[in-house]
Amino acid sequence: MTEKSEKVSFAPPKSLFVKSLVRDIELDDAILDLLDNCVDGILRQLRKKKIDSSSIEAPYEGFHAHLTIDESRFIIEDNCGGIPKNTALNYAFRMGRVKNGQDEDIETVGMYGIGMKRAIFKMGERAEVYSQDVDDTYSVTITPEWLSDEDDWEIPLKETDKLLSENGTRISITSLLPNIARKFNVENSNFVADLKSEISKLFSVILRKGFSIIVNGEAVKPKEVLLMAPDDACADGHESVEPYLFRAKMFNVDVELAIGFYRPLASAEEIDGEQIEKKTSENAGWSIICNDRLVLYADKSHITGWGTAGVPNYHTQFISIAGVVNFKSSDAQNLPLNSTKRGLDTSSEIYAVILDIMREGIRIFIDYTNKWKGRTEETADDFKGLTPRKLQDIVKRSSNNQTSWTKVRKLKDRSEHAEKYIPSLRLPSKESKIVRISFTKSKSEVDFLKAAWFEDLDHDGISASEVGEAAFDYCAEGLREDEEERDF
Amino acid sequence: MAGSNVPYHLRPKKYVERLLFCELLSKAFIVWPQDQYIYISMGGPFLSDHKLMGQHFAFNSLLSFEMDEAVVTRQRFNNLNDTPIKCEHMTSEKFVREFPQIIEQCDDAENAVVWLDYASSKGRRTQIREFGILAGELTPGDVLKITLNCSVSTLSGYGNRAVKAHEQQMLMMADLRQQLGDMIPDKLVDGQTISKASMAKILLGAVNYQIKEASESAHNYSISPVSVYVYNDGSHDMLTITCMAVQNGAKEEFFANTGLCLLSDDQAIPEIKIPDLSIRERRRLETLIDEHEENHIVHENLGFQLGETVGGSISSVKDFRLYKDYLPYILISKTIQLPDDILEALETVS
Repeated sequence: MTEKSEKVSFAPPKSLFVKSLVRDIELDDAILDLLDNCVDGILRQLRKKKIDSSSIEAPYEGFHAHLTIDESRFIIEDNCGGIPKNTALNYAFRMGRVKNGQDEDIETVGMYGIGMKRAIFKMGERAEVYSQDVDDTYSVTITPEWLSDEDDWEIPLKETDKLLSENGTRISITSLLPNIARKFNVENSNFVADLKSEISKLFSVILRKGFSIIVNGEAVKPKEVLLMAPDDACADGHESVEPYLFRAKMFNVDVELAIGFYRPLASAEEIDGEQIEKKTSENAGWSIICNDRLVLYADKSHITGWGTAGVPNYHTQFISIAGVVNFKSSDAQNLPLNSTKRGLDTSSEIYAVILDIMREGIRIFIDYTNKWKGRTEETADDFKGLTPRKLQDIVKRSSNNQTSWTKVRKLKDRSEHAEKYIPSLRLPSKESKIVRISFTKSKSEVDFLKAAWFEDLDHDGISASEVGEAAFDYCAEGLREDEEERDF
Repeated sequence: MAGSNVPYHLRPKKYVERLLFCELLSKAFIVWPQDQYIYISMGGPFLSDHKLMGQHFAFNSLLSFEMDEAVVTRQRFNNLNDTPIKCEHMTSEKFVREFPQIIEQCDDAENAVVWLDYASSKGRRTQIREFGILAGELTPGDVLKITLNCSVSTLSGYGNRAVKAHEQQMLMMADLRQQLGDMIPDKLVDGQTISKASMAKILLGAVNYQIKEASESAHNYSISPVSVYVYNDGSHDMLTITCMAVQNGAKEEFFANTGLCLLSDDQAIPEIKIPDLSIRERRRLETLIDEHEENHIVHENLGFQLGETVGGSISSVKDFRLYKDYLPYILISKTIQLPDDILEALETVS
């Protein structure tokens, strides 16, 4: 039998990219990918100018991205340098990243080369990518006809006149898909408002460093994770509420970590209320930053150590605890990022090491919260005079007092350096003279007492616990008076 | 609920606001057939809203739901109108949950006008969430109104003289943040101080968010906010917002034919202000307003000053001109003791 030389086709259908790939990403994440590209563009510009972004307070100052979003179009226009023509011809429009040597020494997060294309396909059927850099000005137009043609994998690159006042990129998407157009209608949808809120959190570090993101004419303000810390950080041996800190350089990644309280402890009533309905837990938990991008915000799951290795599951009583980890590397492949760039690669070696540190830190604040449970009002003084501070500020201030930091022995072989600062938090003395009483009574009975004792006829001003306390005092005082009368 | 038992003759601004609501409904009913509607609200012991609605419109059904059984008993006693008002003992939570079935079971009505008249400052988040759930259940032609307590004096920290003014502001903002949780619109609270105006704006922002969320899940129609006011209800500042479910295709035509306007996100919130007047003062003011179009000329001819300053007086003239047509005389005659039968007759006339 003669062997016939036939070939099977591994060529992907275009619909795989146009219809399937977009299902793996939410609309807001697709737009955030485009903003990531802007930031990567800035980093390339800085590299060209030989500027070290880590040594400057606001390295992204002067760079901006304008987003115009309505039911008929999505436009993102930046001044972040544009896409070089050669990159456009060979890499930028390929479905997936081709190793080309570029960006190997700068802190970008672009790894897979699908962000721009996926965002376009997610939103509409017609798009124009216009780019202007020092050497070239061109546009690439995607049409519905090209999208539906399975065999055509090329699009002409047209050289054009300069349109932008500064070098950058303008992506304009029209013929929006009906579900997208509905979301972009600001009259009937919260999408744009929610997107701004997402940007303010996820790009908080980048915004603080000077990058300006304007959505429909309104500049987005950064919303960073702030932890409460005293003015004099790291006062040796003194009991004070301040964050647990860790810093290291390992696996070619710089790591900074802080965990502590971002607000005073929650009262029993607030905890009860939160259990009925989640209201303010939003800021509690861990936030993870990779190369200035927030990839995880206020996580309270096993991913960040909750409910693992002796750390309890997140519970409302831990509402005041927040932590932040900052990973920084010139090679994005070293970062614990997954393909969406908005999630962690929890299997990475560096993350496994840091997760242990995160657990150690969180236990300190869980312990403090548990020990003061039911007596949170006694901790009020611990929080007086504390100021909400950014991670970098806390680490920087603490660095001034080097003696308070200790080397992490177990990481000696795996890191260039690794050290931590363990705060000393005031814990209650073991012989407490106060006990907590908790009970339930019918609402009508409580309302009756509210009206009788506090003249609160609308049952609005006095809490149930105040009524309970008054009932206890009334009973105790009465019995004491009876006793005194008997003795007399 | 706080404020809900205050008689209407002590709440003239609320009365004016109710008439403005009637006017708004009249405009909507240019396009929508009013006899297909059920009117639903909390009613209070006197069922004032229901009686007013029954007099103004050809509603086939009126339903009142009240969580307080004693109020329901009084409602049933006071329910003498020609239009039968169904008075149910029900919490707002249960009403919101059962709203679709209530409408389904109502043979006389295809659409609803619902007024969630929350007077209490407690549970603002729950109130707004209930509004949001109900907004998500609306169908084209439905009208939904919410009234919320927006008094800054209900926030903890208010009037606390033990702390400095800016700390007081921080405490009040923290309380509002805690009350609303993630419903609080960041844009409206960042760097803001708490005042009557800013608190009303924050609550309006939270309500607008719910309206948009409901619109996102609506098919071929959207929920459009059409009216917003603040007013003082005797002891509390109140915010009230009305929205309507309008077919997307017919939206432009609906607004053109009814003269109603879609509110924008940064809508200024008008306040219903009415000066306190004696009957004699009011008659003079009415005569002058009919004669002169300019408020300062009215002020100059009054022969007395409304308020401490000239500016305040002119402003009061302006407010009175704006709302005078909604102010019945009975409200001013509050000190006159009239026999029950005359009062009842007057109530029917008003």
